[in-house]
Amino acid sequence: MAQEAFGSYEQVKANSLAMLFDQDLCIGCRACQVACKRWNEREPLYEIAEHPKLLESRQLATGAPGYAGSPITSFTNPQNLEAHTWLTMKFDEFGEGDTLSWLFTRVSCMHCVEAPCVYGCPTTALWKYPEGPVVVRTDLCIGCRNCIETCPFDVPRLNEDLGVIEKCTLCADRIANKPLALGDFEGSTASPRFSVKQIHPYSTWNLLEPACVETCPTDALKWGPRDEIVRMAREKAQRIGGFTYGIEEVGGTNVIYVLKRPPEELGLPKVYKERVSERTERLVSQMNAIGIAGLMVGAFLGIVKWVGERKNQLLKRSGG
Amino acid sequence: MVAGQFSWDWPILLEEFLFGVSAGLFIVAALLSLKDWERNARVCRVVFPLSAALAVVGMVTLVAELGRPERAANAILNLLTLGTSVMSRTVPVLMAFVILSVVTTLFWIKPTAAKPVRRFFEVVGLLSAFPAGMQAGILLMAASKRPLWETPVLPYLYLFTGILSAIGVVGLLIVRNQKTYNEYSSLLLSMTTYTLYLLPFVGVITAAHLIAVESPRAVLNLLTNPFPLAAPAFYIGYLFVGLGMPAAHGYIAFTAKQPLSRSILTRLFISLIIGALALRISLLYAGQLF
Repeated sequence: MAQEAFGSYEQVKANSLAMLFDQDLCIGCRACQVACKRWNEREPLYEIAEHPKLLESRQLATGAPGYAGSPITSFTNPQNLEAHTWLTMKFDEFGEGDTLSWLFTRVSCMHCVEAPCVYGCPTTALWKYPEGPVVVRTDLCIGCRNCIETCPFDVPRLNEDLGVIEKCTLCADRIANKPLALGDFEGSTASPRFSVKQIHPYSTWNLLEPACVETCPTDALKWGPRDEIVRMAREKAQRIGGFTYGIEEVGGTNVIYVLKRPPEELGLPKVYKERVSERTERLVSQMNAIGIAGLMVGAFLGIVKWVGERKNQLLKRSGG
Repeated sequence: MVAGQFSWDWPILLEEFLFGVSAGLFIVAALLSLKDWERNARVCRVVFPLSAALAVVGMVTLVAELGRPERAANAILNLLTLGTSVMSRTVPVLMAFVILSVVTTLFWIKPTAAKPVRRFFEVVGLLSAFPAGMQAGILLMAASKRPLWETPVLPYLYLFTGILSAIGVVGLLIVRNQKTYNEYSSLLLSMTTYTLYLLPFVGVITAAHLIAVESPRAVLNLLTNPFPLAAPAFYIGYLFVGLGMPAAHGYIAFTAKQPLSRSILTRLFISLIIGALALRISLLYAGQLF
């Protein structure tokens, strides 16, 4: 049932579009952050730096209070994602010899090919579109925060004013060549399968890229068919002796990174490689197997007890 | 793995605990009723309504803590559309259990009337109480960001600690006055005996769960995180008060072959309830702190 739920995992993986983040080219200008806020009409973060929530999230993000008593721990700004911040660039400093090098890491939704948040959402408010985006349909969201607990990249955020989850949409409204609407699948509801139509290669047909990609001045962000992006990421990582992130994580994502350092050193979470459906259904199957085995053991013990009691009764009756 | 956000707080904890105790109470009451309903009628008359009340409060808590409670009915939409969300799969089970516990309680207003129908609801309710008792564990098990929760053993740990806490509640109801203590002395003896059987079993399940956790760092976090709602709750609340103390008291009762004094039994039963609560506290918070 679950394996095909999002319209053939393999189909989406092969036909969808993807974004490449090339850390080697990023200069940390934050134009992508600004473009994201502007296109999606997200409010700027007005809270002052001493706001307890900001301090708390800063401490969670960095694991330490500020340098020399200062509340500023990093040039990362905003310090973390929140309901109105769908993209932030993480600034890391690395000392190598006498030099100091900066590395900038994109922190945003990875748009997993088979997204754990979509898989776990009880209301279908989170939805994976065959083009690649994972989008929150806020009119269906109940604010249960199950997506927060399932997202291995820690991306969805609760908008406490609205009581719903918000996150990056991969600019679904820009990249779509057709209206995005529920019901665009064929087959039974027990085994829905998307009819993938109008997936165009990276060409003039796709007039609009995601806002962050369009605005990136150094081409550190690229946009194109996923298989092409994967090929580019592998080639670039090999060339610079770097690392890729997102090709295998959670069975693959629609945002792929080329990194100059191992993902763990950059604060990126170490994520399982299997698809979430395989992982969850395996656990459910194991749980059922334990239950059945327990029932069988219980039944066996019950029969042994009953036979023993019956034997005693018969012995008593026969005066033995 | 990063700690990330701390999104499920005390209302979830309360809901987990209430449903655990409620399901356990229903299981205990239904078994007592099925065994000898006339002899156990006084206990069942209190325990069934208590189970229903806790289930209703648990459901209200669950709905009230949502960001948009008025949309709570949407929670089974995935079940009708994709069928993938573990949460949407467990919600109907919880709803069925709440309804069955309330209906069974209504039958216990006059237990002699429509006895076969009451029996039917008790049996069906009993069948729904097991998954209801496991529901919180199933939900946590499916949270793929939290390695501490991701084992197939966790739902059973929640179920059996819920049953133990229910034994604690039923025991407290019986020992609260001398008359019921005398009347149900044999029941108290069998309850302490079953407790003694269940405690090592739950200890083994706990160990199995911790061994099955994929990430040793997550287990280490549970065992060493000084945050009061993590390691201290696990060691003091769960292992010492929840398992150790009742095991010692139960063993004394078992070897004495007679019910213990009311004061010792009271401590035993209270410690069972504290243990179930402490387990849920430690796992919920330690899971999110890693």
